[in-house]
Amino acid sequence: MIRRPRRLRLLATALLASVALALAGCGGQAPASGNGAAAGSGSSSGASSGSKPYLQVGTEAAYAPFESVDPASGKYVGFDMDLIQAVAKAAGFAGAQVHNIKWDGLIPALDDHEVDAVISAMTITDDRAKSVTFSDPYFTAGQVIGVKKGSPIKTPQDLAGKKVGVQADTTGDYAAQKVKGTTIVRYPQTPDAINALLNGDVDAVVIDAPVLYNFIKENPNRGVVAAGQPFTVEYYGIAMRKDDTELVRKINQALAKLKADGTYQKLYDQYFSSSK
Amino acid sequence: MDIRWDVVVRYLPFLVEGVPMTLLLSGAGIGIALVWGLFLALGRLSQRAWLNRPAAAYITFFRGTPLLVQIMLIHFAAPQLFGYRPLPPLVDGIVALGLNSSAYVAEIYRAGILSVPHGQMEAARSLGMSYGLAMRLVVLPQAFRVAVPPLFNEFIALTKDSSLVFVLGVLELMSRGSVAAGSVYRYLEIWLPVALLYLALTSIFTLLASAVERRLGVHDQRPFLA
Repeated sequence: MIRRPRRLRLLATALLASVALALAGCGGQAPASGNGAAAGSGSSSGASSGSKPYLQVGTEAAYAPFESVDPASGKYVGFDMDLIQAVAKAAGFAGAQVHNIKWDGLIPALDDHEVDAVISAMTITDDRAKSVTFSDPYFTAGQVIGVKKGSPIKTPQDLAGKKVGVQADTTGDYAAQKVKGTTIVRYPQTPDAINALLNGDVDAVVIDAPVLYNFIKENPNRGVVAAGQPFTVEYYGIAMRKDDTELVRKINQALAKLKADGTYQKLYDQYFSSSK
Repeated sequence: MDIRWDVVVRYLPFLVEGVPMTLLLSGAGIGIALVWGLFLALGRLSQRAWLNRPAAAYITFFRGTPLLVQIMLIHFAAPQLFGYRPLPPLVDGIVALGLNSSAYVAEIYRAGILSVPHGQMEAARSLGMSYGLAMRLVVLPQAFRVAVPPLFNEFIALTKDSSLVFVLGVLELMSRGSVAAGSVYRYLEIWLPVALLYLALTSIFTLLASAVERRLGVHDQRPFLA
């Protein structure tokens, strides 16, 4: 102890310096939002965005191609992210500021006014509609079964007696619960469920079709295939607080405008057209 | 007060079902840590480099990386690396918790052993005991006494950390809370019972700790209070 005071002091200085640096780094940064390079919002030239506020948006960015984090830039990317930027601008905001929040914390974040809207490939369900107001549907999806190549599972009935991986509290979870005789294994995030399928922990996954198709497209060599066609139909909506009727009106108008002027179609084609 | 008792009643059985799983995870993890941690501590204290170095590296790794990462590595990366069929998630979960906790427990043991005055070992050796015998009969019993409070600290922490195995699809108390809260969107009604259940679990540890301390006479020495 007494023998080496200098080295200790040096260590303390270094520690202090690194803490100070870290703090400075936090303070100096621009708001950590993904201004996700709003592709396709060609119509409304968002030039003067000086004093307009940003729409505060929550998402769970682990759901490509709807929302994910681009590893290179750290920005939030995907169909939902581009759409919400366009919607926010069309609704009179400067843009959308995106906050990455765990799935089961998204609706609480709305309640706490941490965010004002949630876009996270969230299916409009009666249960959820008790807690939030949804915009008009902006996407039609369905649940599909994902299996490893060569699996005997072809239809939802074949899931009986099998282990089925789902993300907890998603419509995949609910759809799997309706199939009799399955053992449902719940995971915190959808990639965890897909990982478990690859690892052999579960025999199948039930997840939103566009997400499975995207995974297969991006990872053609991992041996995952879709078993048949989607077996449910569901609609995604943007969730907002129940008492925020003004915002709901604005967002719906913006959605309608983007659908009418072709912006929506352009975005859709960019992410989901089979030709690409 | 706005509390929906019907939600509490509806979900309480679902939550309580998670208690045995949490107990199993933490209990088995603690079992591994108590034994494996002792070997690590002895290795760390050894003069022989081939024992000392690996033990030190082990502790550095398991203390220096997040438990969640270790769970992922053990269940997903290790089978890929060594080409074996992945073990059941529950088994890998327990293994990960045990291996992780061992690193902390090893340091607790080591601190305990170092707290025993050197003269104790020397006296035992001069009576003709071998190093191993002296360690077992003279040093470790005294070391263990010192180690009890921080050991129970670690076990309580492990009990709460066991929720991380949710990522392998193992549903214990905490993840059941997540699932329940996510399906009813009521938070007080779910998380308050979960908190109380955890408190009940860790209170068992606290009671156990005082019982063990009494038995080992941890309070016999009161250098500053008496």
